[in-house]
Amino acid sequence: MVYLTALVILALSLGLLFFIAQYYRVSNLLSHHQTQKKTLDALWKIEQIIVNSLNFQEVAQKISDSVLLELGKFGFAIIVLILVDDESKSLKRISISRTQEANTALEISPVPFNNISIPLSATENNCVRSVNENKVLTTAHMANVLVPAIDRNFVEKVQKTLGVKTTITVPVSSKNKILGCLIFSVKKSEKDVSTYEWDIIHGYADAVGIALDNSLLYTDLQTTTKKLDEANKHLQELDKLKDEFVSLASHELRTPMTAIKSYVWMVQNHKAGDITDTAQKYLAIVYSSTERLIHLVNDMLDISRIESGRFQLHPAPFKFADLVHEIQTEFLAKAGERHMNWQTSIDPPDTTVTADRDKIEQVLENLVGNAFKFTGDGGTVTLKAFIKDNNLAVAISDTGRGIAKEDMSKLFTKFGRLGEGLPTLSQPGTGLGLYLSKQFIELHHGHVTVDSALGRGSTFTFTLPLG
Amino acid sequence: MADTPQKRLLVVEDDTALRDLYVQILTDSGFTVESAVDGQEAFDKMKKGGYDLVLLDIILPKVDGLTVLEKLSAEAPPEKPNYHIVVLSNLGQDEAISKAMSLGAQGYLIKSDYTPGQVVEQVNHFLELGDNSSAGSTTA
Repeated sequence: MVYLTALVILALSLGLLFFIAQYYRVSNLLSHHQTQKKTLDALWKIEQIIVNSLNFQEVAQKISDSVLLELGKFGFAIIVLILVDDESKSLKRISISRTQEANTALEISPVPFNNISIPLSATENNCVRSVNENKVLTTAHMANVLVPAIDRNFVEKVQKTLGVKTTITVPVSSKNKILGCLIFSVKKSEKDVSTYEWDIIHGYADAVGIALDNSLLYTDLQTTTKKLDEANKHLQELDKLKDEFVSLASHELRTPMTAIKSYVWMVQNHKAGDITDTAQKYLAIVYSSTERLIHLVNDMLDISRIESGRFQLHPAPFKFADLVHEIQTEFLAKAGERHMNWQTSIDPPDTTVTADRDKIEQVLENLVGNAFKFTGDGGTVTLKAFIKDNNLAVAISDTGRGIAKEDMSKLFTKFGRLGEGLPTLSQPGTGLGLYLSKQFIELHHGHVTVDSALGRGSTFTFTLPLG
Repeated sequence: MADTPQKRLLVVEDDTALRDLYVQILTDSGFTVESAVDGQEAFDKMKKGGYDLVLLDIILPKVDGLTVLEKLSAEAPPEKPNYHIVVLSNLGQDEAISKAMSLGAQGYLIKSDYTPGQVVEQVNHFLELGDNSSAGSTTA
């Protein structure tokens, strides 16, 4: 009977032991799960920082603070974030955890926190070593992360005050570039740092790398964007200044030109008495030279306005036939002098177009003028206006010498005059005519095309949208 | 034309050579022409009023042409109205042009584009446009 009781007690004890063992096993498992969960939570917090903050300083501070929240209870007293400064080739303190120990350290430090700088050549310093060798390092001497910035003896005294026992340096990197390191100062010895705590340390170092990379990138982007904005503003100011200068210059140039033109006209028209035929001839040359200058100033003013976007068209509806008739009359005398065939036509004759009449007149004068200029005596110049695809098309053709293929690209450029042409002083040509004509037509949402070949004559066609 | 009284014109132009020119050709064409050499003189004369047409330059000493128009609009209409105001200037800025037109100018001519003969033509053209008794006075 006693044996039975002893057996039962033994069995119960074993059972109890078994249950106790199981309990611990389960609770360890649970605790392990809990640990895992805690690690995940802690890492998730860092991820949040990455996602939510792009401001570099903010990120740096948040990192130091949040890590401490997790690790503070495990005797982690101070955490410092350090980054490499490429310019000065040194390590600079960026942020420090907001703990009591950290505050104490800040207060008694002879060098202000942000001024603590360790040159990358100080290879006895653990931070430098961690960065240079991409290794986690542990030391019992806090001085090993502060020398040569702060005197060793002094740090040893401070370390005693703070109760720090172990100092761990962990490199921080992103995309295979080492950005700096984290310093963890713990109030316990190395062997007492748990696996969980190491997981946190490594996890944080990784996340810090990413967060910093993102925020540095963003800061870079902001700086670049700001610089671009400033450059753009500067360009706009320059544009405005250029426009004002051209306007002022035009005014100043026009004033004496007006005087020359006007007084020459007075003499030519006998307001100063009779003059000889020779004098008339000479004055005609003076007059047309001045006209050429005036046209040049006008063209440059127009181009400056177009280029700075300040050019305004003044469109209004008008009968195109009227304008054609004016052009016809304008070139009649010249055609007569040079025995040339000059024809204009418009179909249908009552076509109305909405456009800036002055500018279209300028375009016609330019194109017809060119046709006359580059066609020999006895040749033909025609102007045909017709409707095509809901556009008014105007084709100006001549039987002149045509344009060589290699010269086609120069046609509508500024000052892109071709060959020697037939210019005399009596034919004002600025070299800007075709360029401006193209601009004017395109401002009207039309197109200019040219069909020409050497010896075949040329046809310049422009379109203006109708309706 | 012989029975109608001569039209009274005012030429506002600070450049002596041009001012003398315009005064001469307009007088030769049968107008009574007065002149002003700066904005202040222009304002004083236009305030007294009575001109059939004023040729007004913009770049002027003391007070510029546009300011003259502004001041005239701000004041009570002149006893004797100015019927037509035509800006005759070498300043070709679109902003100046629209401002002048909004302040009561009937036209804006770029000096260097016109021979003296063409200026006379333009003056006749504007005079033929008929009376515009509100010119230079209450337009705001």
